[in-house]
Amino acid sequence: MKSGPAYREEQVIIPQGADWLYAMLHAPASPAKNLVLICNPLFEERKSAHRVLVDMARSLCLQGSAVLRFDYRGCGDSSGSFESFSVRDWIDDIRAAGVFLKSRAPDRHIVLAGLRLGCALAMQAWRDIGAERLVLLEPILSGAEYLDQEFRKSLIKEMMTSGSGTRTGESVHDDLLQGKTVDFDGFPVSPVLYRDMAALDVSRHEAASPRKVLVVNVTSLDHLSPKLLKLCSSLKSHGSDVQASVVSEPPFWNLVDIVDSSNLIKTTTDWMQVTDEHD
Amino acid sequence: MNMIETPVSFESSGRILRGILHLPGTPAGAPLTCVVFLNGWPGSRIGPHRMFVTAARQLTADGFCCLRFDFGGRGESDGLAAEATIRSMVADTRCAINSLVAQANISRVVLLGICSGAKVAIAEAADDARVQALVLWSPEAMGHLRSPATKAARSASMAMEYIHKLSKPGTWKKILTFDVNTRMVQKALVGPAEPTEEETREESQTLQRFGSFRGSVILLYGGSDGQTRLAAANYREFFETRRLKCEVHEIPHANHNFYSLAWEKTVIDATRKWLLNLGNCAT
Repeated sequence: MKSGPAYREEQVIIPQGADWLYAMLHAPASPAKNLVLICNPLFEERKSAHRVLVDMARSLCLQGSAVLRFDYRGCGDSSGSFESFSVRDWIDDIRAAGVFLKSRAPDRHIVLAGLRLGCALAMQAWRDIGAERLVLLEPILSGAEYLDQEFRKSLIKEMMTSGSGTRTGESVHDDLLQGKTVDFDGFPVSPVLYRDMAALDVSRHEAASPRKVLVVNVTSLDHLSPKLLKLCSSLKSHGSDVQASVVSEPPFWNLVDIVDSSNLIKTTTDWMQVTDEHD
Repeated sequence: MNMIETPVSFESSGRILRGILHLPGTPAGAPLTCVVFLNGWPGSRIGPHRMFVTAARQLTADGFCCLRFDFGGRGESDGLAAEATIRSMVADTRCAINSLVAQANISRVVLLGICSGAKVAIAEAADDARVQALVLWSPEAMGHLRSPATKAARSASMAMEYIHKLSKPGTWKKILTFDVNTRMVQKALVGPAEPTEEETREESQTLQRFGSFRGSVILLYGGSDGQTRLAAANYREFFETRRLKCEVHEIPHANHNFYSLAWEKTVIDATRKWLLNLGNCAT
């Protein structure tokens, strides 16, 4: 654990049934103003986005938030293998992480933050953990579209390294229908996971929405994508106070390099500060 | 065997570095061979597609102790990302080994590095007698092993490979119909930037000292990984010239980070078999 004037960091293990979740708690030196639970992206996006989310957690902590980052079961440093778990398990993991975080400051409310597919999972779990605010960073809205895109990227990578693709969309679907696990660039995707992930659809979220929501589109364009505009509109119609922001930065969750994501971090910390003041 | 995974932290150059220690369920105090994982340039202790986690858990089941940690400026460790250098990573590795030796009865240290992590492994082994074996996955060329001819050959080879692949009409049709930035995919396959002249000189000096290493080395690389195929050839010549104990294995068709379950399994199985044959692991 690191101790210092500004904050302290603690690696923790959260029991989760027969398994466990690895997590890191970033706690401010003074009593926390609020609690932030970060929901990771999946597949190799978790690796590429890792340092950005660590930096974001530290920035939020410097502002007075206690922040918990954690790995879902079968991911990162948590127990189990990837193919053993699915969407429902990961939503349970968010709940378990939320319970742990709340136990550290029961009188503080939780802000749930997600990146990419982590947003879709967060949207399923926010009500159960009583989150009053939601941060959606470059949210994936459709699990089916996401899986299709990930598979296409895998196919391109295969073609660029071997000169030919040995798989097709049809062959992958055939394998899944036969109950086989398919290989997504080193990640074993079971038929159950594929089915559950394909069923994720943020546009079909519940009638209720958190009180305040930040939606961030990381893009080279200067306007929000039509899909995210629609999401914001839907959230507003359900009573949420929504801020939509466009951040011009590289898609760090897809990159190998170290990326400066200070704009994204500032957008998030600024919103947290403003919404703190108005609470 | 009752294995234990524990979050650990230790200090290096005034920063706190964080990691996970995997301990086999051997009797307390039994001598252990410890494998220390060293990730590539921008990476973290998880490794590509969680490969380090998978490998560490399997090696621990085999009876090895394993340490995965984040270099300063990477993952969850302290320090600024921009300040990390190969030199600082070598210093971090030294501190990791010091921390291990203080905690457990470590009879042998093995360094397992991928890409630039392999350079870190070689540099530490050159100056630390506790390191008795190296596992190099997709090692980057270093120092004089990255000659101008090699660099040019690498660039030309890679360019020809990609031109060949991209000249197939079917390939272009598929790429153009996707909303994917192929430059990013290529960059993901190519790897980090070239070192400076000073870094190259320093690496050559490191290689000179490494010439005295009397431990064992295994090097694994992907057959479709153009840059590492050339590096592996140069490393093989370097090892053979100095009569260093080394095995070099090409994984057919594999790419730089072994992005498939089959390639991952092949690499990890070969590594486990090699390490078990080294002997002296606590089972």
